[in-house]
Amino acid sequence: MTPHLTDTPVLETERLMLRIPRAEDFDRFRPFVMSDRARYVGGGADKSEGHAWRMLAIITGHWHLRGFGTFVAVDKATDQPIGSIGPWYPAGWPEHELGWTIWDPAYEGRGYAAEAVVRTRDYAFHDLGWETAVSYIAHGNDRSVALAERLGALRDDSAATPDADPTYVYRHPQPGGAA
Amino acid sequence: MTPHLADTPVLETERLVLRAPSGADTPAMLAFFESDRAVFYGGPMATLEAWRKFSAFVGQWVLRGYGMYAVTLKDGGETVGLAGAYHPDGFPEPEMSWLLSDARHEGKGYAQEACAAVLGDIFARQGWSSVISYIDTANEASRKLALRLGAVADPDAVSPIPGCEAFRHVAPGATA
Repeated sequence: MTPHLTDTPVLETERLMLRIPRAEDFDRFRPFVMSDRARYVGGGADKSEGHAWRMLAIITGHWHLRGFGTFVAVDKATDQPIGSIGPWYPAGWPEHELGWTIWDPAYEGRGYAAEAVVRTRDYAFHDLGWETAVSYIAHGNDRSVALAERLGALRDDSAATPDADPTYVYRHPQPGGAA
Repeated sequence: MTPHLADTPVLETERLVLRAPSGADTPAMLAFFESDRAVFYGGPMATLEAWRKFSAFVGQWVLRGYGMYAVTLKDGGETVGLAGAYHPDGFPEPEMSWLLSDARHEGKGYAQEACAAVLGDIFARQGWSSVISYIDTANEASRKLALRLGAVADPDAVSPIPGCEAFRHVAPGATA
């Protein structure tokens, strides 16, 4: 009788398994959050281990409070968690978001994020019934802008942004339709 | 088949039901953390930060296996606060923590009733011999409640939160 998340989805792509976050993901998540690579997503080289743990607790709690959440992408070949990708909608967020972070730099530039986002976007539209989805991308995060554009998302400068930080809003194309 | 937190304990007292927090508690929790009542809990704060705080409480149940209960009234089901073991990374040990979300719920003994039930459960289920509470030196109401619950000041415990004094609740039959 250990408290746990249940009735949670598992998605699959060619190279990845997408599942809910787990306590043991912290070993891979922590160094990412505490690195400069996380500076656009709430982390940074000045952040503490406690901050990283809190971020993992928040993405875990999101699943229970909203009934959906961000998936952890696991490399099927190595069983290693490599990033967090997918639906995100905390209170105060203007719209449903699809987010992505690749934790391990060794997995960057190899199409893993795109592979996972495409699968979770399909899940958000078909299984969660979302009618539209955006990605909020901090100014300066050129890699994510490039990925959003490669995924067919279009900048929507009329859309609201979540907070005071300068942020681009990219709106994703709906399945079989336009953005 | 909506994803949700399962296998969490439910505690019952004369007037209260304590269960794991859920989306139904969100309005009461956001109202609390956005208000001046949250001054001893890092607040008041904006909605987004308030939700993050609440979501981290929920996530702790999964990551630690124990956490803060939503305190609800048996009569009507209203959420009146939280009580339970708060244990973020960076705390040297789990903390017995509590809050009442609205001033309407004060002065009725709800916090004491909830905390007594939680303490009993912590000592029985977790097997801990004691549990700490870090209380802001300006938070007179919480200090009084800690003492009423039988906690004693623990000058040897170092609070991870600046400006707080440590009080230790000791399990029946254990020594501090």
